[in-house]
Order: sequence, then C-alpha cells, then structure tokens
Amino acid sequence: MTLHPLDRRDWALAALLALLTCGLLMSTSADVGIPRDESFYLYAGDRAADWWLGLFDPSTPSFTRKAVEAGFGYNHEHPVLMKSLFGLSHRILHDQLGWISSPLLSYRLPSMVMWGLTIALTYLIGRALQSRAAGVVGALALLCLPRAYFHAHFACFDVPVTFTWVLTAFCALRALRSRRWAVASGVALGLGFATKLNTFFLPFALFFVFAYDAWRYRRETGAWRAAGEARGPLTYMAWTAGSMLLLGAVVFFAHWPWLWWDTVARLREYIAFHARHVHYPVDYLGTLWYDPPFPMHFPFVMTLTTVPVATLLLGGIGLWVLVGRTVARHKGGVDALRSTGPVEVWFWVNLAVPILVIAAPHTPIFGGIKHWLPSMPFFAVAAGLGAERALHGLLGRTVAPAWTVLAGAVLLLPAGVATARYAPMGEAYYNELVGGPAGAAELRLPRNFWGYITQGGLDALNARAEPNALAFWHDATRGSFDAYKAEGALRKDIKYTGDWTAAHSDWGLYHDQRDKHWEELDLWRAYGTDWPVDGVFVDGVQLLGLYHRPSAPTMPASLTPPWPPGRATDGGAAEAVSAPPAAEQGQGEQRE
Amino acid sequence: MITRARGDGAASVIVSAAVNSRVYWLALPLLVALAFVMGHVQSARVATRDDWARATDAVRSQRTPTDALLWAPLSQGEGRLYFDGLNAQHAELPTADLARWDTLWVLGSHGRGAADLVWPHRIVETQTFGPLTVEKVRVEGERVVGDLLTDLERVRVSRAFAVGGEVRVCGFWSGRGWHCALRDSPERTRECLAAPTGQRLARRDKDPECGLDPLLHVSRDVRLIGDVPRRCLWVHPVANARVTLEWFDAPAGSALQLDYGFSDPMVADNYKRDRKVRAAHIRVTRTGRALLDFEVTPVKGWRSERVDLPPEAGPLTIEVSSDDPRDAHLCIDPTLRGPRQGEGSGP
Repeated sequence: MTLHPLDRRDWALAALLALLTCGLLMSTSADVGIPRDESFYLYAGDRAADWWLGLFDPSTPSFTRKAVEAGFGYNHEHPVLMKSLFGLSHRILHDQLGWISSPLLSYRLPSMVMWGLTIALTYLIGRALQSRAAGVVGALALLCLPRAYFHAHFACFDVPVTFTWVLTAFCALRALRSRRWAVASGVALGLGFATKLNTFFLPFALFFVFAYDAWRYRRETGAWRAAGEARGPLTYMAWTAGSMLLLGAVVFFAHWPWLWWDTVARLREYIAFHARHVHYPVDYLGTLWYDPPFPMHFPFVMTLTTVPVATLLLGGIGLWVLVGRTVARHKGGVDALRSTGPVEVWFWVNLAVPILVIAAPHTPIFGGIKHWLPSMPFFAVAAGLGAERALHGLLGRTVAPAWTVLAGAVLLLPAGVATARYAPMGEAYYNELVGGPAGAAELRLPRNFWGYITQGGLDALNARAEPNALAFWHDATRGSFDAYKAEGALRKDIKYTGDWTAAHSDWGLYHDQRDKHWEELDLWRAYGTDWPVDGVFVDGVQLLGLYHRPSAPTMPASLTPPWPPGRATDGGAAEAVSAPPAAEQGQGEQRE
Repeated sequence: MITRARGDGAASVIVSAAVNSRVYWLALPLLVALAFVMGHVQSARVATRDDWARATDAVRSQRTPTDALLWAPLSQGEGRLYFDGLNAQHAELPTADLARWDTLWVLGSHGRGAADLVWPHRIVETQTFGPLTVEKVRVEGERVVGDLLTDLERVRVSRAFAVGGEVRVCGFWSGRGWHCALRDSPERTRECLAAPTGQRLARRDKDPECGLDPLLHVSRDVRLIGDVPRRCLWVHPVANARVTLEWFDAPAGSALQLDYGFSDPMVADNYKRDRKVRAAHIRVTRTGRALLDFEVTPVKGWRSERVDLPPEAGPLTIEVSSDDPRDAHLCIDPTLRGPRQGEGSGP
C-alpha cells in the first residue's frame, strides 16, 4: 500500500467535513442533557480559564501556589487542556464577546471542534490509504455513529482524546518516513497526555509498529541501519521515540501548572487514581458486574450491537480487504515497505489497542463504549475501503468517486437517521441485531449513563410542578441542575433537594440504570406509588421516570399492638415481654 | 467467474467465486435494507402511549377492585404511566404467584402474554390495542386465605435487644409498620411524619427519620430481590436482636408458604465478598409446634419454604434471627394457602 499524497483539495474537503460536523453538533446540543462528569468539568473549566486569563492581568499573581491551586486544584485527577478550553470558550465566547448565547454550548464547543477534526482526520487517513471516495465514506460512517455523535456533544474528554489519539497516530504514520513528522508526533502525543490518561497506551502501541518496521528491514537487509547517508526505519524510530519522550513530557508538564509543585507526589497521585479507579457497576447480559474479572467480550459485543449494521458490514469488508493487503505486504520484500512503512500494521494496532485495553479482565470497568472510541475512526476508515470494494464487486468495474460516495451515503442513510434520532439519548442506541433498544433491554444491556437523560424530563417537570417544587435529582448533579437553570431549560423556582432525598421531595427524576434500581424503589416507598407520571422512553423502555408524590404526607393512625386473645394487655405482657411504659402503652417506646 | 482457484483448496475456490460474483456483492445492499426493515418491524412491535392508554381504559372499565394486572415484558415500562389504580404487580409471568387474586389482566407485547403464565389459569377474554394484547384471566389453583402483608396492623411485633436481652414490643405504628424505639413521644413523632415535605427537608440533616430507627422496624416494603421488585415485610434481623411476629388471628389454611430474600444490592452478582451479609434464621411455630425452621443463606433470589398445616386455625409465630452484626436486609412474605372456593372468594 502506498500512501496517497494529500493535496489542497483534500485539506479543503477535510475542513468542510469538520465544519459540517461542528454545525450539526451545535444544532443538536440543546437536546442533549448534562452527565455527571460534564457538570464537574464545567465548574473546573471556569476555574482553569480564570487562571489563564489572569496571565493577561498584571495585577493577578498567577504563579503562586495558591493561585495555581485555585485554578487547578478542583478535579485534579484529570489534566487541564480540555478543561481550560471549555472554560476559555465559555469565558470569552459567551461571557465577554457574547457570540454564543447558550453558556452550555460555549463550554461544549471545543469538544465539538475536536470531533469535527476527528472526522476530518478520518477522511485524510482514508484518502491517504485508499482514495478520496473511501475517505469521504469513512468520514460519513464515523459521523453516523449514533453513540459517538452523542458523546461528541459533551464538554468531556472522550471525544477530545479520540482526536489526539488519531492525530498522534496520523503524525506517527508519516513519521515512519519523516523526521519532521516525528517531531510533530511528539507534540501531538503531548496534547494527548494533556487530554486524558488513556493516551499513555498509545506510545507503546506505536512502538510496536516502529519496531516491526525496523525488524522487517533487518530481516531483509541484514542490517539495522541503512548504509551511507540513507535513513532506515531505526532512524525514524529513534527520532519519533525521542520526540515523544521529550516533547510529549514537556507539553504535558508545561500545560498543567498543578504539577509545578510537589511534582513527584502529584504525578504519583494522578497515576494511582486511574490505576485504582473505582469500578462503575455495569449491567451486561443479565449480570450486574461490580468487580473484576470482567467478561473480555464486553467491548466486542457492545461494538457489534451499537454500531449500525451498514457500518458493520462495510467495515467488515474493509477489514477483509486490509487483511489481504497485510498478508501481501508481509510476504513482500523490503521494497514494499520502503516508501511508507508498515501502514497496515499501523492500522491494525490503532484499531485494536483501545478495545483490547478495555477487554482486559482487570481493567477497571468504565461501562461505556466511549472508552474505546479511539478505535472507531479506524473502523470507519475500513468502512470507506469496504464501500469502494463492494461497489467494485457489485458493478464489476471501478466507478467515478462520486458514485462511490453516493452509494456509501445511501447505504449509511439508516445510520444517519438513527444518529439524528438518538442524538439526545445516544447511550440507548442498539442496532437491529439485538432488536434495538427494546431487545437490548430484554438482554439486559446498559442503556443509561451518568444522569444525562434529565434533559428529556425538564419540559414535563416545568409544566406540571407546583411553584417552589422540591425535586429529587437522583443521578444528576447539583452542577447540572444549576446549568439547566442558567440555560433557561429549568424553571428558576424548582428546588434541588440533594442526593438520596427521595423521602424529602415531591418530585423525583429517576435515571433508569440497573445498579440504581433500588433508588427507584426508594421513590415508590416515599411517594406511595410505583407509577411515574411522565418520563423519557425509547421504544417503550424507560430511560427516565418522572415521579410525583400524589398527596401530602398524612398523620399515621394511632394503633395499639394486638395482644394474645383473652390476656390483659399489661399483665400478659409482663410474662413474655416488657410492655411499653404505662403512659405510652400501645404507642411505642421512647429511646433514651 | 473463478479466477484464483489454483489448487488452494475448496475454501479458496468458494471465496474467490464469492468475491468475483456480483450476486454475492448484491447481498450487501440487501442486508442493509433488511436491517432497515427489521428496525421498522421492531419499532412496530412497541406499543405507543395511545395503545397503553386505550388498553388500560378498557381494563379500568371492566375490572373489579380485587383484580390485579401484570404486564410483559417488564422492560416495556412506558405502560406504567397508566397503571395507577389498577393494582398492577411487578412479576415475571412464568414465575408469578397468582394465589392472591381471582381475576388477572395481562397486558402483553413482543409475543408475551397470558400463555407464559405457569400458574393454573384460564384465559376468558382477549382484546388487542395496536401491538398490545389485553387478556382477562381467571386464576385457578390454590388461594391465599391469610396474608401477613395485609394483616400487619393486627400482628404483634417484638424485638430482642442486645443489651440485657430485653424483649420489647414494637408498639409504634408509622403508617407502614411497627417500630420498637422512639426518640420523641408518639404524638410528636406522628406529627413529624405528617409534616409537609418542605419542613421534613429543612430538618433532614438533623432529623431525617423523625426519631425513628431507619432499620430496626417491621414494615410493609418493596425491595429489589432477584432482579424484580417484591412486596414484602422488612424484618432486618441483626445479631442478638431476634424479631418475633405473632399473628394471633391467623386463619386456618391447608399450607403455609413463606417467601423470602435478601435485597439484591446486599448479595447480588459479583459484589465484593466482604459486603455480603451472613445467613439469617427463620422459625415458624403454631401453638408451640415448629412448622418451619431453616437458614436463609445469603444468595441472590426470591425463595420459598412451604409446609402443610393441620385444618385448625391458631396463632402463628415467626421468629427471625441472625448471629451477624452486619446489615441483613431480609424481606419476607408469609401467606396461608387453601383451596380456591370459587369466583370472588378470598380474604
């Protein structure tokens, strides 16, 4: 496989795809609720942004330990690149310039841009590996992944780290034969480190690609190094490794002022937090998993059931095409690798590693498909290759790229419809192989995620709740409650009762998750009814139940406990049990 | 056309034939179209809110106050918006115990319905509302003739206390069950329980339970046991605090059935071992004679013990104990069973 050079038209097309993606995401953002972690990052983002903006204010002492801890102490278990961008976008585009009227959208914009850039990179990779048409179809396949599109709205890290993963991989692909790209890949990796911890797996994955390249060279030529002035794979490997070690570390350290004090201790704390990450319970095929070892097939089954069927089929064909190319390349001589390096190995590694990391039985359970999202651009590239191959097989000849794009778009149309439909509730999407959301519920596959679905119940709550209503917010946070009010999506007078306050509320928004089902029963017990008055349902399956206490609490009846027939209340009691004190007889005991 | 069959074997020939045949490639768009159609068929099997509203209106217009309602599959929860006042029960059809009712309404979709009931029954009427079937079912087999869940007000509850081994009658009725210890006077506690929600919330940090013990009581409850919400009596035995329920006017019956289970979060699935509860012990006697005496092992699920009874009525005593100080979120559902007399009979 040769890598096709990218020209100006490719960059323009990539930019167009990125803009299209951002525009779509911005248009659907208001429908997508705020999950727990996003609400934390909104708060952290503002703190971080204030610190960065303070750099331009001479009266603000930014470089003191106190100032840095005020800016970055909250939520310091994650690096601050994205949080800073969320906060800066909010402070500048919303607060200062007023260009974005929705505060939530202003926080989310950087993530949306990252997803747009991921779509663009997917196109560029497809273009480089195969053709312009394959690149476009690959980009469309990624854009039409319902769950990924849903996650692309959030001011969180999973989509940005997907972007930095693909960016670093793209740079590394070029770095197989370019020292300039080797330098770029070090910076890209640093940005990945600055985004989320799962980037730490990437250099090991890429090291394997470079090592394979060098080993093949050694096997074919008998030497590790190229003769004379020529550069062999080992040279590029050394440049890339050096760049990643040096620039990666510099970018990571420089971007995060919180590490500038107590560096070793804080680094240790950061790594330990994730190494010993709490296991989020996940309901999977009838078992509520709390602790390892977890089923290794989880990410594979979830991918097969949450990627649209057309994308699976096209991606499957593309992978089969790539298997053939990989075998051919492996059998070929070193000349086959001379210009580009082992492109197919690079592809397989980037496709597989994010999934395999989650498949390991002792990896902390995180529950969602978002944790192997970095695999999906590569699968989408395979779908692009698959579309081109399929059309060739169907027509028996190569057709104009426009026809390939059209055919791919038609095949992906159902995926696009699903993506639009599930934009506000992407975690509930399941494909037809398991019978959609209803079939997935019967198989007990997870469909909810960290309290995002509140948004769907707000209209009903606003319409029905009495003035100053007391609402139990269940899995959604106080931060999200405040953000909905700031957004104008929730009535100002509705009050937040706090965590575990079913008994002290009149309205309850139950987020349906199997591990939290007992909290729905708390509402039934407290309100005296098992039946919600409204909610969010997809294909009849509950995502959110809106409960209302049907009547005010009433005085319990004053009952006297029964005594054995024919026995006096006091005398009989003295034999077997201590009766309550005379004044309280039949009324209970007073505790000291 | 086969182009790469050069002695690579049959598999290679087949693959090559497939790859080079346009007919095989036609499978791709056909499969995508099939998936699209499947998606629409799957959605069409889902009842709309209008279907549920019409179906429940039909049940409401025909039911008697003692009828019950089941729906299946349970995951089709949208119908729950319309179940208020219909005595709907959370139960899987194949394992549902129908002895409490004479007439049952089963609302089913996705191929589920009264035919999934294992309990003896007779379907007497079927209606359809979109993809929803409404089946009126005459329940057969044995009947509950004595129900501790409904009789709780007429049961004396006492609890042994660790200090001094004293046994106290749980004499305060909270509206749901009997409590053994109060902080304030009963009148004040009752007033606190009846306070508006806002007042209760304001003093939640200092006084979340109006001075009542949140665990040590015997009350009507609903607990998630074996993945299904169960209506049952919360007894919560802890070490050296035996709970005794004396059911003085328990009616005669041919059998005593005691269903029981620990709340799922305490024992479920692969929860950490050290958070699991220990076994509890249940002993049931009638006029001093032991009827049931068994260990409740802390495993997930809703289980049942049963014993045949002599025909005479007499007080029943249920003692629940544990030798472990950890939470024992045990819930029980004791009923007396007898032959079904005929339509409309029951307690």
